[in-house]
Parts: sequence; structure tokens; C-alpha cells
Amino acid sequence: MKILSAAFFALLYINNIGFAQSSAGQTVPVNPPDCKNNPIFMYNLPGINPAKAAISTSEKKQKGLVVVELQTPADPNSARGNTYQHPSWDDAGYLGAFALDYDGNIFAVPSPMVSVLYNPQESQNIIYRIDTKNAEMKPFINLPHNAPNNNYNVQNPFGLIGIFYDCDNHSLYASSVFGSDEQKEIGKIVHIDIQTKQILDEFQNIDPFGLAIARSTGEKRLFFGKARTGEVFSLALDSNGNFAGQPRLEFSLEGLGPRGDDRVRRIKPLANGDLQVYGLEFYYNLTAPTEKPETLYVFSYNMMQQKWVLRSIN
Amino acid sequence: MFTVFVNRFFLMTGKIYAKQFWFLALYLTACLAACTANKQTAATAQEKQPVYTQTTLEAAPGDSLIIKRKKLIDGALKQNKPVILLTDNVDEKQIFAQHIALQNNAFAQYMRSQNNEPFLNEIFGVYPARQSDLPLNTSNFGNLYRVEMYNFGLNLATVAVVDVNASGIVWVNHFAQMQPDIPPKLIEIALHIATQSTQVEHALGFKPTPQAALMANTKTALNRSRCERSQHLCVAPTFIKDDKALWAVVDLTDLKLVGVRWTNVGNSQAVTERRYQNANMMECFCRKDSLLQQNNWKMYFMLTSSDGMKISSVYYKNRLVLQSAKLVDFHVNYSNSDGFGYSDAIGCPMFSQAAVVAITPPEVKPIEENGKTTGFALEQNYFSEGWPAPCNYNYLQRYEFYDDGRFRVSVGSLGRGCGNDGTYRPVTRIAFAPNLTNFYEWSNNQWNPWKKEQWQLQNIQTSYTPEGYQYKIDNGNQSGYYMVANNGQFNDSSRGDNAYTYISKHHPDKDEGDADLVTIGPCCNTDYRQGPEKFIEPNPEPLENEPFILWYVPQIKNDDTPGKEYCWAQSYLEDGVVKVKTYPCMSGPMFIPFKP
Repeated sequence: MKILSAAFFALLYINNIGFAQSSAGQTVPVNPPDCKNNPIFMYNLPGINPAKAAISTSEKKQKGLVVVELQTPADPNSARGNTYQHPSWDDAGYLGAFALDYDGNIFAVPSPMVSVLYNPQESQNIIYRIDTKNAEMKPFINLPHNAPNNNYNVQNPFGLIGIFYDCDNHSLYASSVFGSDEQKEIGKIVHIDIQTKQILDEFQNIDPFGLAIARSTGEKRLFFGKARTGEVFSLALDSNGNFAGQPRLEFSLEGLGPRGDDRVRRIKPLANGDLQVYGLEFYYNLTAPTEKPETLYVFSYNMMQQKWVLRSIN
Repeated sequence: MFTVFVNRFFLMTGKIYAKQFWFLALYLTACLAACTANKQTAATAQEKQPVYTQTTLEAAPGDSLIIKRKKLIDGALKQNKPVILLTDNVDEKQIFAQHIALQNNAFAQYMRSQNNEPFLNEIFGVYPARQSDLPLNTSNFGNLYRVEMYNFGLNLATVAVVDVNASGIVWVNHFAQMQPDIPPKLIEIALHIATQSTQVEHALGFKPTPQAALMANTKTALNRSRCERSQHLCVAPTFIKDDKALWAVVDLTDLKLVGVRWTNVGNSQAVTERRYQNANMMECFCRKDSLLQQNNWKMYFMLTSSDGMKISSVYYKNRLVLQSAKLVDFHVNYSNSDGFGYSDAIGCPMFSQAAVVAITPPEVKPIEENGKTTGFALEQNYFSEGWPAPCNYNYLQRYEFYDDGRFRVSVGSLGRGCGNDGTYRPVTRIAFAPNLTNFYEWSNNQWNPWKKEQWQLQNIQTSYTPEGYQYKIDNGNQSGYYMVANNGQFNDSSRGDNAYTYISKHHPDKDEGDADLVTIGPCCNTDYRQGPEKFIEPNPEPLENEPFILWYVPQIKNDDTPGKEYCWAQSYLEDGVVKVKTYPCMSGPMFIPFKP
């Protein structure tokens, strides 16, 4: 069964804000306020019960984004009922990670599945926006990349592979490995103002994967996994959400889990400050074995010892 | 599983098992030659560093220690409870603890398959229970023992805490894909396999002793390693030389050396089966061409990002035959699900567009006909990690070169795919020598030239010469090749190709597939639209006296009917561990020279 390697499946839900004691004794929010909202169009889709609806980019037989009705809403693997796909939702081929914003717009990134037939490389650095009201998907921004001479790179079919919405600044963070190859690591993390579509900041020459903002260590930082190793780094952010300083190594999945060689596909900050980290294999290829194994790791930050502790592996 | 596949192929091609040693030697030589040749022609600074040796899955030495181990396994598998007990350096209580555990149904739950076939199990350790093994309120636990068992067939750890005074079980747990610490006798075997290995000796420059594997900093002889792909029990005896560490990854399920790899001392990244295989393939076959020169043939070969193994500059008796040949796409569609299938690219295991990747080195094998060696074959296998589980794939490229100048470009599937209603359509691209500029079909009892780019389907109405030739390729001067369609006559269990053949003009001034091609066709077209038509339509160009590309797309239906399996694979148990039986479906035409 070919499961999209970088695919991201999400149920619609709202996180709560959590708090924790910092080492200095002050109370700081451990999680950014989760302000994302459901798309308005979700409530008016033909044949779809909104209470059971979920957004998916990893349906086996449908390219792009699909709204599915789940038999058991809490279980993304449960049987499907009716599905809905707007005619524009498969225009970009297969999609991977996506993020919801305050207004319920969806921002999705492309991700080739098994082949590049529907995902030409030149389109792999385009973020697509699905309008919360009319459900239409259009290109939002085509991010500049560092591939020399705009060359097609047969070694790496990927471009964007992660996206996160920051409620504080109404902005997006996206990770891209466009143009990187075995020798050259020329990916980047990009900070984008949603209102103006302007790139506010870039952190260059690194291949990042899943990313999220969290305050687990007492300050607002952007956490990101690396696409080449199991390491998780963080970048400090200034008041505008731009990058301050150099990446700091937080923890690593190296040797952990059933494979011992996972990359961080997704990071989900929990209300208590813990980080849920979704790990899977990633070797810059299009392999997609049956039920591609993914492991969920939970890490807690010990404020006293100022180090991360692995709490569970599932 | 690879042993099984190789053996199957021997059966298919009418070869005999007694030749295995010769094959192995030839295969190793070919692999070594591939990398050695490149080092000679392109010695870079990087290559002066210690790099990987080129052999893989070296068989364990057939000495008394290995023979003793195999006898122990045979004996265990004949028991009602197929388990090797821990007998060395254990006291009576530890022996008793094992027996208590084995009497417990939960502990013994996975010792046999659902068909009651035995898995190989072994008690790896019996330890006094620790506080952490027990509920917090447990005070007196001196009579409690922790029993750890490993199931080689399922790659499963079973752990129990037993009470030797009460002759009962406190708790039992099973842990999938986990392996307890291995017992001293397996450490001894791992060290033995590593130190007897020619690969290790070659890499170190001397034959090491088991004591040399002791790592001074860790006081342990073994690094934990993993065999993620084979799901076998693996460890890595590690040898220090200067500031480098040589990891010898040993497979204790198959009693083999997986491979060796150097790291810097202190490098925290473990060397595992997958890392070794990926690095080896990238280093030796993905980054550069390798020269293969055998009998009257000379060629280069290389693994591509998405077009499988590409052979290039193929000469027979110093005459150019092919500019290149490669496998562009592997289309699979399932007839019971409209539009469902995949368009797989095959190639390098990392930094590639491959959906099914090469993980083991290419092999060079002799071809035998009527008891004589008449040529050799260059093979490359591609593999999904879950194979042969459903919806995982295994493909084979096989180029055959005969001493008399014949050659065959062959492709096959070894299953298993997503269903029994699958049709495979591999797309092969063959660029002939530029002087071979005319293409003819046999029809109306004569050779008729193709004057424009076109395609044709091989079917029941296809005409063949009395010798079975379907097409002819020549240089306009009565020298060239006949193309023999595969109708199942090549002694490889094939059932015929029902193939599309396309001829497109070879444009030296634009790239129409000389470089790596992206996916050129969708999974599920059931007609001629498999991708090559894009280089023909909408306005076919004149063809006569022009260099051309031959595209070949067989159509192969799979079958899981017992006794008639085709493009299929099936797991089974052998010696308590999982093996795979394959039913390849090979395809591809033969080219026979005339006036060579």
C-alpha cells in the first residue's frame, strides 16, 4: 500500500492553551494560543456530516485534498463514509502537510506520491491556499529556492515538506528541501506574512522537515526536525516571529523507536508543554511501503535540569 | 529471502545448485571489480579515506561452531516447544525459571505459527528480578526471575517474571520488533563470524582475533545494530584501528555477515543493515559508472535515480552494439479497481525518484545452455521494505550477454503487489548504436521497413519468420540484429509478453531520455499510451537511415492460483524463520546478430 511518505492527516479540533512553571519561576504559556478554525465551507458540503468530517491529503485513491466522513471521528484510520473533493483540490497533484489559519483557510504544500507524474518538481515549492468560504484552491506563494541555475534535480523530488501557522503573528512557517541533493544541503525555513504574502525571513542552507512553535523551554521558539538526521533543533524568534540566532540542538530520535533512524515528520506541541513528535523514515526517495510505519514520540522538557526527557514511544 | 530468490532463479534457468560456490566467487569478483575499477580511474581525496568493502551477506564459515549451532537449531525445532534453552553459566533456579515460563501458555503463545509450524525461539537471559520489574509494593522478590526469550521468526521478544518458589508466573509481555540482550554463546558466534570474515580481514588489513573486538571505552565486544529490512537479529562486533572504527554487522538469524563499514571513533550513529546497504549502493553504484568486461563483451553500468540500472557503451568484439539500455517506468494497474495502480520508478535507495529501490549490489551470473556456459547475465534487484506483504513490490532487471553475440534485455516482477488482478507494464528504453538505422517488421513473408516513427502490439496475429524473428534492425549493409519476441521460449517460466514495441527517432540534439527520465506514463492506461508515444505523436517523423530508440512494453498479468503463481511471492517458514518463495514473471526480447 503506497502511503504518501510526507502525507499529513488531520482531524479538525481546537487545542487549548497550557501553562507550565519555568525554571525562573514565572508562569509562561507553554503553547502558542491555538487559534485555528475550521473552514466555513466544511459546514455546507453535500452529503458530509460536519461532526464526522476530516480533512485528508492521504487518501489512497484520490489525489490532493479530500474531505472525508469518518465512521469514528477520533480515529483517522476508521472506515470512510461520504467524501467530497472540490474540483480545484487535485490541481496541484498529491498534497502533503497543511495548516489551518484563524479564518479557517487551509494552506497546503505539495508532496509527490510514488512518482512525480502529478507533482512536477518545478511546482514543489508552491504553497496553496484553500479559501475558507468558497473552498477554491489557488497557488498562494511560490517560494524562491537555492537550486543552482534553477536546475531540475533528479536526485530530489521534494520541495516543501512542512508548514505551521503562527497565531501570534498571523504568519506561516514553511520548510523546504527544494534543490538539495546528496552533497548539497540547500533547503530553508521561511517565515511568510499571510496578509501581504511577503517573505519576512529565511533561514538558509538547512534541510528542515516537520516544524512547530512551542514555548516548552520558557521562550517562544520554532522547533524543527531535520530531514537528514533524527535531530530536532530550535530557533529563537523575535517579537515579529523572525529568526534570532543559530539553531540549538534540542534532542534526537537517533537510535529510538523500532527503526532507530526516524526523521521528524511533524511536531505537535501539547498543552502541558510536551512535544508530540511523529517520526518516520525519509531518504529523499519515493518509497512508500505498506502502512509506512510511523512512531509517535513524546518528549518533556525538564526545566530544572534544562534537558529533554523521552516520555513515551508508541 | 535473497537466498531463496537466487535459488529459484537457478531452477528457472536450468542451472544446478552445485554451481553456487562458483557463482558466489564470480559475483564477488564482479562487485569488487566494479568499485576497484572506479577507484583506479577516478581516485579522489574522498576515496583515499577508508570506505566500504563491496561484498555483502557473506556466508558464515562452515566450521564446527556454526555446524554445532545449526544442529542445536534443528534439535530445538523438533521439540514440542521449539526453543533453545539457556544452559551456560546458569544455576538450578535459573533452569527452573525457564521451565516455569515455558509451561505458561501466554509465554509460549507465539512459539508456533497459526499453522502450528515452529518458529525458532531461544531463551536469551534469566536474571534475578529487579524492583523495576515488579509492582511498587513488592517487597520480597529474591525468588523472582526475569526470563527473556527471542523469537527469530517473528522478531519478537517475550519477557516473563516467574516465581520459582511458587512455580508460577507473575507477568508475561510480548514486544514486537524488540530483541533482548544476546547470550554469551551468540556473542561468541557473532565474533566468530566477524573474525573469520574475509571482508573484515580485507578492511582491517589483518585477521583480527575475537579479543580485538573488545571496545576499550565500552567494555563490550558488540555494538547494538539493527537489521531493519530483513527484521533479523543483528549485532556489530567493532574493531578499532587508529581513529576509525570498523563495524561488522552480523546477522544472527541467517548466521551471515551483512557487511562492514568504517566510522569515526565516537560517531554516535549506529551502523545498521539499512545504513550499510544504502551507503554501499550509493558509494559503489549510484555515484559513478562501473566497468564490466567479460568474454567478448564490454560495457559500463550504473544505478540511476529513476531508470533502474542503465548499461551504456555496450561493445561486442570491439563493435558498439548499444548506446544504452534502461528501465524507465514500471506501470502496475489493477483491473478490479478502475484507475487504481502505480507508476513506479526504480533506482538508487537515497536521493532518488525511486519508489522501489536497489539495496543489494548487482550480480553477474553465468548463463548455461545445454550444460555449457554460453554467456553471462548482469542482474539488479529492487525491493520494497515490506515485501512480500501485500502492496509491496520486488522487481528484477536482467541483461543477458551471450558469447555468440546474442543479448537480451529482460525485466521481471517477483510480486506481490496489491492484488491478484494486476498487470505489469515495464517500459524499457534501448538506444542502439548510431549506425543501426533501419527497422523492419516481418509481414507478408518479407521484411518491411518502418518509414516513420510508430508502435505495434504483439498479439496472436503477429507474423514471425520461421526462426521466430519479429523485427530486424540493420545498418543498411546487411549487418544487424533480429529481434525475437518473447513467447515463453526462453526457459525462464515466462508466459510471453504481448508487448508494445515503439520506434522513435533518436535526436542527438535534444534529450528524449538519454538522461534520467521522470515518470513518463500513468499507471493505468491499458492501451499503447504507456509513455513512449509521447516521443512519436502527434507528428511521427521519418525514420529510415536515422538512429532510433526502441521502447519495449510487455504486458504481464499476475496470478496467485496455487500451482500457477506468476509475478507472485509467498512467505513460508524454514528452519524456524521466515523465508520467501518467489514466482518471477520475466519478459523481454532476444536480439540475435547476423553477419556480426
